[in-house]
Amino acid sequence: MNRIADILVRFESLDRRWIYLVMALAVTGALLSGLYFPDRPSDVVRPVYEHIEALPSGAPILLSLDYSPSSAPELEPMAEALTRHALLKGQPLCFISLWPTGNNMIARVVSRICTEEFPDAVEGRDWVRLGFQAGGEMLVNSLRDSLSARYELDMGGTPLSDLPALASVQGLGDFGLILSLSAGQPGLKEWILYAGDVLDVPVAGGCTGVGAPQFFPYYPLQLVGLLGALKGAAEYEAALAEGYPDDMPPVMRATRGMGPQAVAHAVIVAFILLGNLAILVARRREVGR
Amino acid sequence: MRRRITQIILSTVALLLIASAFATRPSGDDAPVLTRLLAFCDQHFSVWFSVLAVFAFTLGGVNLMKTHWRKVRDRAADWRYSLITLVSFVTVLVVGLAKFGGPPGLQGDVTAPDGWLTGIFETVLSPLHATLYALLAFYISSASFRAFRIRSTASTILLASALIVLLGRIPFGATMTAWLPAPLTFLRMEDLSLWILKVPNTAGQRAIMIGIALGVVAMAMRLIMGAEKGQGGRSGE
Repeated sequence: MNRIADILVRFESLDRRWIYLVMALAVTGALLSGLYFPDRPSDVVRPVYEHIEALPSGAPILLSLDYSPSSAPELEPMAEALTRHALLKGQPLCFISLWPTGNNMIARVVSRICTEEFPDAVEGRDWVRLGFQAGGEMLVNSLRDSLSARYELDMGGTPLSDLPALASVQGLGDFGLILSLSAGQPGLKEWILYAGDVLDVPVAGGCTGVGAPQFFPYYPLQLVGLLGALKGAAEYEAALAEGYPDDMPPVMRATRGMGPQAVAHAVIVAFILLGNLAILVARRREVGR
Repeated sequence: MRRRITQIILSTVALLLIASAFATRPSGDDAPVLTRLLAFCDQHFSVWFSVLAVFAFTLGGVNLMKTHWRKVRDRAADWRYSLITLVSFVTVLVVGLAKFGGPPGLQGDVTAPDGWLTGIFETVLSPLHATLYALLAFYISSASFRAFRIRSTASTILLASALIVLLGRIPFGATMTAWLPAPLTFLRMEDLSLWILKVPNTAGQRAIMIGIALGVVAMAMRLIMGAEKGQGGRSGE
C-alpha cells in the first residue's frame, strides 16, 4: 500500500515530457489502429440537420467557411458533411468566406465533395463559389440587401446573373439558411448579429472546441443549432448516416477523427485524476506526520 | 484644426450608422426620405469600409516589409527570421499576383488546382498550420494536468466541471453512465456536459457579453463626443 502511495506522490511533480510521451503514444496508437466510436446527434446538433431537411427543395443555403488550415481538422469535416447533405437534398449551396484563406478552403471542399462524390452536380446550378472579400462584418452588412453590391462575378468569373443557383436570391434574406463554420472573428457571431438578427433569416454554424462556449448564449433563439468541434461534426455525420444510410460512406471523416481524440481526452482525464490523487496522498502524509 | 475635421467626420458617420441600425428598412421608393437616406448610408458605408479594409491589407504589407527590412539591414536580433519572412512574403505575393500555373488575368481563379499558389497553400502553409495546431494537444494536456488541482472550493468546482465536459465529449464517458435508469438520464455524462455548456456557461458568457457591450457603448459615446484623448492623431494634441 505504501509503495502505491509512493508512486502516486511522484505524479504531483511529474515531468511534462512524460505527459508528452504518453500522449504521443496514445494518439499514434489510436491513429494506426483506425479506432473509432459511433456517435449520436445531440440536442444542439440535430436541429441543424432537421432544418435542412425541412427546407423546400431548391431553397439556397449560404455556407461561409471562416477558417484557415489550422482549424481545418475540426471544421472541414463539418463543411464536408453539410455540403454532402445540401447536395443530397437538392439545396443549392453558395460558398463564401470572411477569411483570406477561405478561397482555398472552399476549393478543398468543392474538390473533395462536390466534384468527387457528386459527379452529376454542376457548378452554377448546384453550388456557387463566391469566395473571400475583405471587410468582415461590413461585408455581411453590405450583402444584406444585394449580393451584387460586393460580388459581380463568382470565383470562376461567371456573372452572378448567369448562375441558376442564385436565381431566387437578391440579398441574404433570400437564403433558406445561413451556415458559418467559424474559427474566430469574423465568423459565426458576425453572421448572427449582422444578418440573422436583422433579416430574421435562420443562422446555424459550427465552431472549434475552444470557441463553442461563447456561442451557447445565442442558442436556440438566434442560432438554429451548433456543431461544436470535431464531436459536433461526428454527431452531424451520425444524423446523416441515419437519414441517408445508402448514400453515406461507411465511416466519415469526423467519426474517424473522434477515435484518436477520445483517446487523447481519456489520457488527459487520467493524468488529471492521477495528479489530484497524488495531492490527496501527499496531504494525508503531511497530516500523519 | 485637423483634429476637429476628423472629429466631425467620426461623429457624423457614427451617428448616421447608429440611426440607420434602428431605422425601419424601406419597402420601396415611396418610403420616407430620411429612411431611404439611412438605408443608403447603411449599405454604402459598409462598402466603403470594405474598400478601406482592402487598403489596410496593402498598408499592412508595406509595414511588414519596412519593419523586417530594417531588422535585416541593421542585423538586429533574430534578423534571419526577418529575412525568411521577407522572402516568403515576396515569393507568395509574386506567385499570387502573377498567377503562375493558373488561369491568368484579373478574373483568373487563384485556387486553380494547377496554380503555384495552390501548391504553396497545400504543401507549405497547410502543413505548417496543422503542425502548430497539433502541438496544442501536448500543451493542453500538460497545462490541464497542472491547472486542474484540488486547491480550494473554486478550483474543485472547476476541476469537476472540466472532467464532466471532457468525459461528456468522449464515448467512454457516455458508456460510464449509460446504465442510469430513465428518471436519472439527466445525470448521464453527455447530458450533464451539455447542461454545463447550456446553463452555467451561458449565464457567465451572457454576463461577460453584456459587460463588454456596455463598455463598447460607453467608449463609442466618448469617441462621438470627442472626449477620448487619444483619437484623431496624436494623444492630447
